[in-house]
Amino acid sequence: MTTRLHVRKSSLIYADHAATSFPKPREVIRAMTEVMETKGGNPGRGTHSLSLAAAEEMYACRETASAFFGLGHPERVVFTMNTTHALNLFMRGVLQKGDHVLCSDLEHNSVWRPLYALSEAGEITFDTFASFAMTPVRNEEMILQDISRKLKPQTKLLVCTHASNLCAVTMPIEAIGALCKERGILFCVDAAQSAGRLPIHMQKMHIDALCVPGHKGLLGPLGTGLLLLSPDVNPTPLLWGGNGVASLSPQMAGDAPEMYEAGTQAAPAIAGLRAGMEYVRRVGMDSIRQREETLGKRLKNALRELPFVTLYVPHHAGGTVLFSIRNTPSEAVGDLLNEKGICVRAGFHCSALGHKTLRTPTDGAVRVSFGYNNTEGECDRLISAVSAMGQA
Amino acid sequence: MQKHDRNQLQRATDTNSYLLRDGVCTAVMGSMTNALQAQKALANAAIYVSVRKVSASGSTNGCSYGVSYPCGAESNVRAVLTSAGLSVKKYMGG
Repeated sequence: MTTRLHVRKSSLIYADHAATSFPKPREVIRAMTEVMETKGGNPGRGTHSLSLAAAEEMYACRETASAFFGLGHPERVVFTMNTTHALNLFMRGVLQKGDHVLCSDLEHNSVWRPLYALSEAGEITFDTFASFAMTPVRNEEMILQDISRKLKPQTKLLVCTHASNLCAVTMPIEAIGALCKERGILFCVDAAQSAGRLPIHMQKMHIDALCVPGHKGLLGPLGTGLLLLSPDVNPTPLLWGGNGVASLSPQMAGDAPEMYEAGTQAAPAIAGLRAGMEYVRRVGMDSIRQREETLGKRLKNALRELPFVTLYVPHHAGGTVLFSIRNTPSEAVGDLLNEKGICVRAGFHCSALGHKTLRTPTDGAVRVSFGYNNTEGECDRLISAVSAMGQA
Repeated sequence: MQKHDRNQLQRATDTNSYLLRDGVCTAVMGSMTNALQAQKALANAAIYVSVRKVSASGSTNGCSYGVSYPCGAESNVRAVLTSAGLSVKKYMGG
């Protein structure tokens, strides 16, 4: 199957950064190429020069991630395939029969589906707490009160997205972390949309587990993710197999991180992830966020003037904008934009809970998500394209 | 195979003789990550070591990793690793 590009690649507008960032910085590509060309051994499977060189690349990435997210323990940085993998590893690894879990009403299916599956199997129960995303005036106190109301004696874990994948709503994770610490509840943050965009400090925010994509705001390659674990939290592994340690033992031997990393790791991709994090650090998270917010505001201001457009939660600042067009299915809007060389995402964005909370139409909505490399000119082309849909 | 090569191979397959060469000591850390962490901590204290794989023996349940250094640096190595909070499974040599 081939994909037809309607315009030359150079004139494509990529505004689907919430799905994955594109294009990647040259530094990322160079780092990956260098490992494939010169450090191609299997990391952690011996100490011949190429295996050791690959292992050193991985450890360097653990160090960078540990510092980036205020963990202070590189050995607690676990490589995963993506955020979903990290969330499943943690949730399934700490939950036991009879436990209760709280999650927000904005969660991605990467949280909702594992919890639903465990609940259907009779293992756990779970409830959602309100994000108050649709309330123009919202504050952390409202959210904390709702969480407190829904806590049960058997509540073991609270899982919360840091930033919605549908819109610009963020959650007050520092305050929620403090509440969890006070109540003795494990706190897991889904940073799929916030890593590389919003400051995260695990120690200061009392985060027990941080689940991170490598390929979104951190600008690394697809297929990379991280689970960062605080020192006292030790979930059971999700995968069993070879990890290069104590090979004669029938059990997954060793400690974090190898205990959670069965099988060969993607050293070139991990080197790319480190280069991506370093790029973000060099350019500055504030600078990236400011650019995305400026473009988001520009788009929302323009769409507000179009009578046939409905904007969802327009009162929050951010680079992710959700809208629908009257009498036009969201997928049709996405297709029309694609024909004009504009890549956005339509539908339900893997978030049943979020769409229900935001009260989008039955066919979902259109999401524009700006990234570090979008321009005002691109934003204006997008505005023109949407405006033209009302004249058709 | 030449007799000389066979002797070298025999030495290399005998973990203890390989790692316990005269003047070379090893701190067995466990995983590769632990060994690299130790290497970094020691480098910060200007003690330069190499990461080594420690083959199966009765007590290790299979391979693990450690760092090798001149035995003369043993007390400094122990002090740095303890201060860094790094757990050492076993010190070999010396």
